[in-house]
Amino acid sequence: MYFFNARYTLKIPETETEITGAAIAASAVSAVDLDKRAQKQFDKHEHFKRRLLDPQLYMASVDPALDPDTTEKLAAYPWFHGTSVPEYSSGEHGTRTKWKEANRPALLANWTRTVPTDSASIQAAAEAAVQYQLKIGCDSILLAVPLTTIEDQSLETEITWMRAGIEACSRLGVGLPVYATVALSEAVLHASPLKNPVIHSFSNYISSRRELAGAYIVMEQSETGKYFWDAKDPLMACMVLIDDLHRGARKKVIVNYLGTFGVVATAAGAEIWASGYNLSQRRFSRTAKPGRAYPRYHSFATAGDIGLKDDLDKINEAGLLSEVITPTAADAPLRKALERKLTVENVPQWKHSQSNTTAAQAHYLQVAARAAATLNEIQAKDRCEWVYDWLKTASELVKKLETKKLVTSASDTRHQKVWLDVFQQWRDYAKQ
Amino acid sequence: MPPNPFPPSDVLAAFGGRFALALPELRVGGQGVVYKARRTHDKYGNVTGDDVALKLHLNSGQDERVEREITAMTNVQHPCLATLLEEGTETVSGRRSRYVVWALIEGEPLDVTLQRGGIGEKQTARIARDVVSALSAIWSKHIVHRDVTPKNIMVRPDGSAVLIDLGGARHLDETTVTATGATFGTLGYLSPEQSRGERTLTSASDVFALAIVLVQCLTGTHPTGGNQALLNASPPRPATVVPHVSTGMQQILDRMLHQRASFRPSLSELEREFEQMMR
Repeated sequence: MYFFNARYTLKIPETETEITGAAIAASAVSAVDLDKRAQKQFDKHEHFKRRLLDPQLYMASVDPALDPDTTEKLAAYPWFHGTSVPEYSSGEHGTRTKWKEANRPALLANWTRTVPTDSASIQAAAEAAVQYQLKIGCDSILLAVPLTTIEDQSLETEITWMRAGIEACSRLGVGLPVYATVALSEAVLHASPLKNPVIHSFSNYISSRRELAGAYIVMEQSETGKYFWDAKDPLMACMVLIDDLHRGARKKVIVNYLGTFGVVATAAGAEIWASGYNLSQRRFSRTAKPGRAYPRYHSFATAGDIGLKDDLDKINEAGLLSEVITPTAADAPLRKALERKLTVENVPQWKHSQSNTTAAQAHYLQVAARAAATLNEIQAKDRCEWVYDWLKTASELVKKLETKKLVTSASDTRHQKVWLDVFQQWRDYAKQ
Repeated sequence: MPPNPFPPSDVLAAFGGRFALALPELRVGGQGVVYKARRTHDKYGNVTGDDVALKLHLNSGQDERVEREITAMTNVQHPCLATLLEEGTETVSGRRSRYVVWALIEGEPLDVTLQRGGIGEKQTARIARDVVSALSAIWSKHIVHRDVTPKNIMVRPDGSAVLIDLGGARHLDETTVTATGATFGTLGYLSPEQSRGERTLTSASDVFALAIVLVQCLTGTHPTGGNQALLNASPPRPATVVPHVSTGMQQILDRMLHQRASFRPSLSELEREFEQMMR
């Protein structure tokens, strides 16, 4: 299933294929705004009827000097600084903006860049995260768990938080599926994936807790500018973890911030993958600053994005457009124009200019939702073959485009072979 | 046998004669002494008259192990686990010693049984069912035994089994393997994850060790002669090491010996499987 990785805006472009649900990131929307939406707006949007809230405790070390906006949003949630965050009351604070203005200095001043460490604070914070998700009507609970970094791989802190979350769910009588967050920094994943003790320890722990329905997996990428992750060992580690939990322990798995690698993860057993058009919706980074995006053409056939400045026009001139294009309602004007031998610049919705991303976003979401729906219809045993064919074809296609010098660095052409190799390595290992 | 640091006369005197010791000692080792005894009274003065194993521990670096076992056993009672009757500290032979009184288990350790050769499949299934049942009981408290070996399984005269020695037991949520970071357990029985020193061990590690014990029960010998390195490099394939047993037993052993902990069968599943095999 595909979940839209929700940011501040609730409304998303219409897609022909229904988007199953939404994963809301705490860093994208302040607690006070989310409260309002939970009360009045969620049920108006089809894709929000099934919703998850990622508490993002793993972002606790964000630097307020570099990213005050994100810090302020996160700090407004009670699991970062206990329950000292004043609740919004219209009578007392007036508008939500006034609440934010009044509390901004305190929120930033209290931001310690660490997670609570004493037992009582952890329990209170873990419970607050569960309560909040219940309050806004999430259909599963994602436990707040800190990031596993190269500096501390003992996992003691992570397990303490998981345990506190499980206990909180028990105290609150939670009847929803509960997922343990596994947030891993890329540095801990550059080890042999089949022998990585961090991966094994997490799968062992999660599989042993009956209270957990499964895991919510997030992996931090060190290269912040990439829309498509091409780090072989980390991606394979992800596949091994999913496989261990799904096939081994019969647990459910949700992955986020992997972009369309989510399709590959589905073949290994992930139940839900979440992503979105913007870079910040496709990969997780604690250090990247959000910027304004340019339109990118997502080509499912190449399992990547094609640059719109020159590349798509060159591909069209070479007569290869039909091989690259992934037709959707959103790209119809673009296709029509290119078929008439016009250029991208002639199509206002797709013109390569900053923030002109509405059509590109609608197109991406449709492609993602359609891929997920297609995989959903295929029997589990045939999914591997489908994904293999997709990656193999994509690898061959980008190689052809490169050989003919039709693509520049604006197009993503490096990760396809890595994904194919990872997938094949996983299939060999898992005998799938 | 090393010299006994707690001679019987000193023990009798220290406990005010409430233990009638049966000689010779059950075991004299580097960590202490175990006596078979008739306990006339418990430490509160209640008349008991039960047959017990009185274990006196030398006050050495083993204390943590003793305390861990006491903590684990205080929380769990099960017919396939040793029963802790009493524990305390007493001055014996001039030294303060921790003592533990266990209900006496008639029978012999499985390693002694196996010295006479392998046992049949049904008897193996019975031992397996009992040990799995004991592991389930401790696992319900999220405790991992970490040292399931033939030496730590007592076989009663009626063929039932009792899992003993929870000195290495660890709660799932304690992620540190040992204080020194070293791997705990007995070489030749360590699961791959235990062998790698992974931090989070679960009942799946005990399941792996039990599978090695069961292969030993069926063949009379350890599949790699006790060699852990060989075990890590090439885990035994039940179809080749125990070809004479039923396919059902081979399949379950195969799953128990899976390299990935999360792929091994759960204790409840194993309990059901072995129960059926006993019939």
